[in-house]
Amino acid sequence: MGEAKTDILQGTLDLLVLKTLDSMGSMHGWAIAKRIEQVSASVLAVNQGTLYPALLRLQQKGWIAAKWGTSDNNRRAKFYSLTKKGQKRLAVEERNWEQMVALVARFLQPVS
Amino acid sequence: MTWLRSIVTRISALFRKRRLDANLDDELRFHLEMEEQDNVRSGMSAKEARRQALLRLDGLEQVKEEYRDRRGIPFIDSLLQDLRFAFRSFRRDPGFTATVLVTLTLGIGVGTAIFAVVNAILLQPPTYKDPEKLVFLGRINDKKGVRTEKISCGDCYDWRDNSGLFDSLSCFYHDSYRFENEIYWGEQVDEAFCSTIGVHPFLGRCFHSDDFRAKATHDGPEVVILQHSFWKSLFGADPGVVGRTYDLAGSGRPTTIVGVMPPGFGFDYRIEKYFRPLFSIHRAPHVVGSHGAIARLKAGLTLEQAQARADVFSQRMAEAHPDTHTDWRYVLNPVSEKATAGVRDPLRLLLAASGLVLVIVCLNIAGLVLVRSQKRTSELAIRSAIGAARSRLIRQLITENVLLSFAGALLGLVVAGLLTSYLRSWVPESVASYVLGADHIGVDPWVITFAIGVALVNGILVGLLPAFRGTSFRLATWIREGSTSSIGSRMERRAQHYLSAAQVSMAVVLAIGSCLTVRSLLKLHEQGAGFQPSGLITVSINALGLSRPGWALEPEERRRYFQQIYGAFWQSLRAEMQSIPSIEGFTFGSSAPMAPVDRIRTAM
Repeated sequence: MGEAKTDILQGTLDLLVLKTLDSMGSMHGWAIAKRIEQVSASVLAVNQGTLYPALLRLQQKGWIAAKWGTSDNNRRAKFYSLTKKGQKRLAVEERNWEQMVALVARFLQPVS
Repeated sequence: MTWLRSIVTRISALFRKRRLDANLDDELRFHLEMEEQDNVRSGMSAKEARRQALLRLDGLEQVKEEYRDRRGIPFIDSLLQDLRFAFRSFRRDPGFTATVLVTLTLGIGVGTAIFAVVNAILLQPPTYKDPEKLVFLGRINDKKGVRTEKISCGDCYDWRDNSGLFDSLSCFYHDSYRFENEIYWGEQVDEAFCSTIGVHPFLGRCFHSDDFRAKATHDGPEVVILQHSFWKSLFGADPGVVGRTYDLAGSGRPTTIVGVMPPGFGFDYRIEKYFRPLFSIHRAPHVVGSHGAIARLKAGLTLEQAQARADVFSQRMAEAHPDTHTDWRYVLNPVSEKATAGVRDPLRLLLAASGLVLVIVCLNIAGLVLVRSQKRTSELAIRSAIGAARSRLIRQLITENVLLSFAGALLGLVVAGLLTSYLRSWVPESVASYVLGADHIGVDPWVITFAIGVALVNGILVGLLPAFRGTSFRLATWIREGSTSSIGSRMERRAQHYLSAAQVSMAVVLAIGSCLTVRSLLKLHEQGAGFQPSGLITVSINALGLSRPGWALEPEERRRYFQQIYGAFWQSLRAEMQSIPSIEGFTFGSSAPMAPVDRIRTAM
């Protein structure tokens, strides 16, 4: 049970990060965390600590790419952006998610 | 494909560790600062802002650790860490390190050197094809108590054609030939030579039937196949000499070199330098025991079966040739045994002795490591308290030991190299020519593998006991009572006692064994040769040249001619010798006492 939970959480976090980068373009780690918090209206208090290992994982899988750059306040920061592969993956994940939601909804509907 | 990319990035991460760590630090620091600023903007004080930021980034060090784990290869990372730590701790403890290194160097050096000798002589197979199937033919006369590997030429062909035991048989004859004013020993062999032993010249070709026909009619030049080392010394390993004709023998008869045997090839383990086609005149049947035969057993025939059948065949031969073959029974001597017969048992003994030495070394080091581990209990306890798993600590201790063992093995290999080169130069030529491989004793890949294997086993075994003992403390007890719990040290002392006892007993065994061996050697030496060697000179004479005119004769006439010629020669020699006042007396025979058998024709 514990294993499955981490998988789902991991997968969900991946999806959130990919979607964020897709809609907002290139961002640094902190901005991604803040954005996820914002969009979820602080319901999802992402453990910021798990973000960075997740970013590394996404990099290793080739879905995002990283580059060092300068932030708005002239500090050196690492910026992440979605790759083509990542875009494809995002589409797949979105589709999967919608399918699962539809399936569960069917089950939860009162028998007609 | 992603796993490949991930592996590549992980391996490259090993090398760029420092840079990547700095990058991660920068990134996290940036994150903290942004969060701090954000907090300040929402109204917190600077201090509170910082604290909240740190809290959000839940467990900074653990984040870093998880990041690093994902980034690199954790096993190798920790291995490298262990190695660095081991280096430092050994540097801090030079007395221990030096003692262990010296012990290991001596032990592994000696053990490896002995193994190199055993490897070169016993373990490397002779260079024939399928040597287990090859046998030399020999015969034994139980009545006279004589054992020889000389059989008659007729015997050779009898065995080949009628015994039904062999796939092929090759007849050979030791002879000598003159090359450039020096006489060298070699073999005359028949057409089946190369195919029987399964070795062919690596340059040029083996003999074929034309060569033998030409030999019989003395048409054309002599042909010869050279041994590799002889080719190197005569012609400097020039491949162009193959096929060329030289007047080597100085007799006006040209000699064509048709082939060169591969390096490392030795036949009958003599110092033969060349091979020539077998003289047809020597095919005098059943007369003199002058030839040898090497044969390949038929497939599926074991040595015992073959020997049983050979005994039956010996009987038949005795009945067929009663005047020459009674009381002789024929034996099949496996090629590999012949090569090592004399030295096999002493070498096995040496191997056992060096094994004991290695074990003593192991125990010795185990004792030292045990003592050292006692001193480190506090360090290990602290590490365990911080959260190091027991397996991790044990892995670290074993890594240390293996590192030390490898260092010792490296030095030991150097010592072994020195020892083996000394051994190689010390073995006398006569022994080296009999024992195939004696000139190959040295540090080759097998020997290195042996040394590394010993080091590994040593490191792991030696580290195991102290590692387990050293990490099995109860943390609470330790913290309460201080660094050494009394129960622990009692067990350690008992272990030390056992170790010492084992070492001493093995050392005593070794000492007694070597004393006995030395005593036997001394006794052998005292026994003497059975004759007075001082003032005695041995001379070897090759009078083959006398026989040349006789080749053209018929067999019966030839024999009479030889008898006459040689008889006259020895008579005149005797007369001349007797006239020299400083010679007290002389005799001649086909071999000198204590000389390598059948090399020397005459001794005076």
